[in-house]
Formats: sequence, C-alpha cells, structure tokens
Amino acid sequence: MNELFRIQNLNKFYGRGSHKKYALSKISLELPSNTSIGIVGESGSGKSTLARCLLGLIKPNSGTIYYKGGDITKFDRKDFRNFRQEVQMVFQDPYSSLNPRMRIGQIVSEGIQVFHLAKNKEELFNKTKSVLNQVGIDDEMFDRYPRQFSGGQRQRISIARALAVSPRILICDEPVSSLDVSIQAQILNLLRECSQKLSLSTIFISHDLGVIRYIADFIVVMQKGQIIEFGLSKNIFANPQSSYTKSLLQAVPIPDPQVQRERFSSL
Amino acid sequence: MSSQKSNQPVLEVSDLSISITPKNDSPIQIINNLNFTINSGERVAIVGESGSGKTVTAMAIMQLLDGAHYQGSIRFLGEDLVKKNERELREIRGGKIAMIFQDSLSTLNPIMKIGQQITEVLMIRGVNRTSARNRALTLLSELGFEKPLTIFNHYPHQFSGGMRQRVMIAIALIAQPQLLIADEPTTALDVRIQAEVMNLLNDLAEKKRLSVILISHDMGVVAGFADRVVVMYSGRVVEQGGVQEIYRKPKHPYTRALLNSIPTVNRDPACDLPFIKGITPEPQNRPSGCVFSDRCTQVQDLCKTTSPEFTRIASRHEYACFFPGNDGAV
Repeated sequence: MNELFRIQNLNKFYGRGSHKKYALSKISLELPSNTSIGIVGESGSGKSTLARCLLGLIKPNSGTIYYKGGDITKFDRKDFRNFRQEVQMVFQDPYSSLNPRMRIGQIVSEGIQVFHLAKNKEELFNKTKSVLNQVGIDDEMFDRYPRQFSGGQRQRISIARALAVSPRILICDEPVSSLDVSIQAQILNLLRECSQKLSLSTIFISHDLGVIRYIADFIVVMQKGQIIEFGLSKNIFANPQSSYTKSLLQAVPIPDPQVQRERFSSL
Repeated sequence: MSSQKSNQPVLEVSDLSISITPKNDSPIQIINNLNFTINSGERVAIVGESGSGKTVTAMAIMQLLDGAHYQGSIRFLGEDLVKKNERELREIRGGKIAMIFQDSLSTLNPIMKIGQQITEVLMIRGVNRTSARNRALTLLSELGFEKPLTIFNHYPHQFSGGMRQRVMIAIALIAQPQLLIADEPTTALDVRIQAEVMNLLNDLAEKKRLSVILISHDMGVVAGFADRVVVMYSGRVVEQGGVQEIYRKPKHPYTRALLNSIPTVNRDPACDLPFIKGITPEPQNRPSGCVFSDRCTQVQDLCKTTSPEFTRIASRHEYACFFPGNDGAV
C-alpha cells in the first residue's frame, strides 16, 4: 500500500518538569494514500494537535513525520512550499477562518496566485469561478464578503479555498460540527464527492462517530494523546477492540426512541 | 417514562405570536401562532434548525425577550406569564421555572465560587445560609459529585465542561422548580460526557417529577429523553406528537428530512446523505403560503399560495401540511 504520511514516535508536550503534559505521546502510524482517514476522540485527545503537526503548523518535540519519503521538519523552503500546496486544511469554524475584510473571490484566488497556478488574470478568474461552482457557490457571489453568507455556505467557501490550489491531501478539522444537521449532510456529501472526483486523500477529524462512519475508510481512535485503535472503518464499527472505542460507540445517540431508551438504561 | 402523569397542564402556550421592532423599522414577526401544552411530569422536546425559533420560545416562556410584543398567552399553572410584572416574574424565574443554558462557561460567574452560585438561588428567596448549604450539598451528591464540600469552594474555571454543566443543573434544580427548560444542555460536550449528563438529567427529572422542555437539534438525544416532540420551522410549529409517532410515522416533509439527514452509526455509509436544500429563511423573507414551501421536495402549487392548517391524526399528533408523507423516515 502506498503511504501518504509515515509518522514515527511523535511526541508533543507542553509545560516542563512536573507540569509536563503530553498532547501527543509516542504516535507511530502509517496513513495510506487515496483513502479517507477519520481521526476520532474526545476533546483533549490530541486529534487536532496531530492534524496540525501533519500540516507543519505545530512543531513536535520529537519524532518524525515523513511525507513522500521526506522528513517534513527538515524540508527546505522550496520543498515546504510544495508541501503546503499539496496539503490543505479546512478549519472547524467557518466564521473565524475566513478573513472578514476580503471578498470571497479574493479569498479563493489568493492561493492560486501565491502558487503561480494561473498564467494571467483571465485564467485566475476562471479558475476561481470554476472552483466556487464546484462547491455549489454561484459565481455571481464573487464580490461578496464572508458575512453575507450562512454558516454552510462559508464552509463551502473554505473548501473552495482549499481545493483552489489542487491539493493532494485535504485535512478537515471538525468541518461540520458547527452546522445544522441538514447543512451538515450537504457539506459531507460535497466533501465526499470532491475527494472522489479529484482523487484526494482526506484526513477527517471529528468527535461524531456518525459523521466519521459516513466519510472515513480508515479510523484512528485517540485518547489522551495516544492511539488506541487504528483500522478499517467497517471493522472498527462492527467489532471495536478497545473498551474506549466501545464506550464511544455506546455513547453516540441514535435517533430511534426505542433503541436509545434501551441504551440509556444500560449505561 | 415516569409512571404518574396527570393531565393537568403545567404550561399552555396558546396562539402565541411574538414580534420585535428593530429601530426605525417595521415590526418583524419572529414567532407565529404557536400552540403546545406540557402536562405535569411530561418531557417535551423542541427541535428544529438554527433560526427556527426554539430558543426564542424558551426565552418567551421565561419572559426574557427585551422589547418583544406578545399576542396570545403563555399559561403556567393557569396564570398568564405575559401579563405578569417584573416583580412577579422574578419569583417565578429560577424558582418555579428554571433554565439550563447551553454555554456553561459564559453563564456561570467566573469570579464567584460554585457553592455561592448555587446557594444564592435559595438565599435570595429567604432561606438561611446553613439550610441552603445543606440542600446544595445534597443536590451536588445526587449529581454525582463525590466530594461536594470541596467542590463548594471551587471556581467554574477549575471544572471540566461536563462538571460545569452538572453545576448548572444544580443551580436550576436547587429551588425545586416545576418546569425545567434545558436549552441545548449537552451540545458543547463530548459524546461520552453528553450521555452521562443526559442520563443524570433523566434520573433527576424522574425522581423529582419534573416537567421538562428540552431544546435540541440532536434527534438522537431527543429520542432517548422526550415523551413528546414539537418540530419548529421558521417560527412556527410544523408538526408535533408523541416521540414514537414523530420518529416512526413522521408526516411533515420537514420532520422527515430532519430525521433523514442524520449520519448515524447504523446507516449504510455507501449512500449519499439526503439533505434539505437551501437555508431557513429570515423572518422578514418567509415564503408566502407554507413556510417550508421553498425548500420542500413535495411542494405543489397550493403550498405556495396557502398556508396549511393543522391536521390532527391522533389525540396529540398534528401537522401542518397539504401533502404529508406516509412512509417512515429512515
């Protein structure tokens, strides 16, 4: 299997001495490419820290992350630039992750300019338009500001911004947790559709196992900075190995009065 | 779930419409002709997307909406809350009707000790310090705090989200209310903590024979807790009924779409999730006719011109739709 990221003995801690707290502790993992990987865990489990390390946004204290065989912490400027183009992120909060003073056309086209992906203004414009259309935003909205959009639309714009630079990997950190269920369903469908069409690999962080099941081929279960379980999504859902994963699955509310009540009394 | 449920309504919301008037602008109707009742010991969930009017309804019951104009009535134990003055309302708020808010971090006072914040509710009602303290300690241990005495001297920031939410429950329940309004009480919590808090709320509500309004957008949480479900959309009730009826035989296309769009752990992940096109309209831009007509998949010409009346199919199951569905939701 072709690997996307190879992580070896990754550690990240905050504080020192007796106050030392490990956000990531001895993480070793190989993430296969052309798949969708879900990272689940509760708050404080280190899932976002791991994602940010993969993106090079947080420097780990020790350990290495290999991307296409190269250690990302040792990348030179040029390699790192390349890496940044290939690995894009969609953040959790569509309100704070879009610059309120930029028009959405600018927001989406900025990356294309930075990575010189368009030869001239016209191409830039067309590229921006097509990526906005791809995520279901009308290109007439080009000149509007983020505040003029709803939460779901903003998340579409965030996705367009990430897709604009033709990445190979999309890291999504709780991209739907602040959205209503009906809107959540739209965004999940969109992310799935885009990753299939563009043969993207996605790393998807969520605390919602329902969402993860829908989107991920592989699942990484994390707790307190450690990996508890890693495997094929269908296997983990059908037959969870660790008691932690079992308890997570047990706690997911199921929208069925009878089932949910029975589980309630068994908790 | 609870064994004794008399039919005397605790809360009766009848023909309630609420409008607010923004500065230099014409009034906007945010709640339109709301009708529902809550019997003693009953748990009613109000569900809907953001902007459907769930929280506004809760705030209206607490009479906490500034500058709102009410039509209709909100009767609590037979008395109309809309007609009460501030002084009478102060007695009721936190006393007979208590509320748990979503965001515990911003609702708890960061510079007051937990103990003070709980006992305060009783002491302003004339209970002396010692008995207030004792009642608070008992309640905290009922809420699963092992050392309530040490908790007493802690500040909110020393607690985790789940613990803070349990403290919020303590503050709400300390004055022995008859009606508890819980506005998205577990939305900010992790699944395991959510299950814990909902379980606790479930047990306490049963033990203290509370009537509860649970406001939630999580149909899973609602399924495990509520006796009845009120589905709101754009300031109106579109369907209401018993929890079994709403989940097993939903009639209104909106209810069905809400139930269908949830990515659950037991559905086939290979299929695309059904979703609802568009977003909830702003109160000033509601479509004419049925409010849901512009997003509905079953829409016909009639829906765009005429607002549907309620059709009652069981003693307390009703929906407002001309073309209801008959098949189940999922």
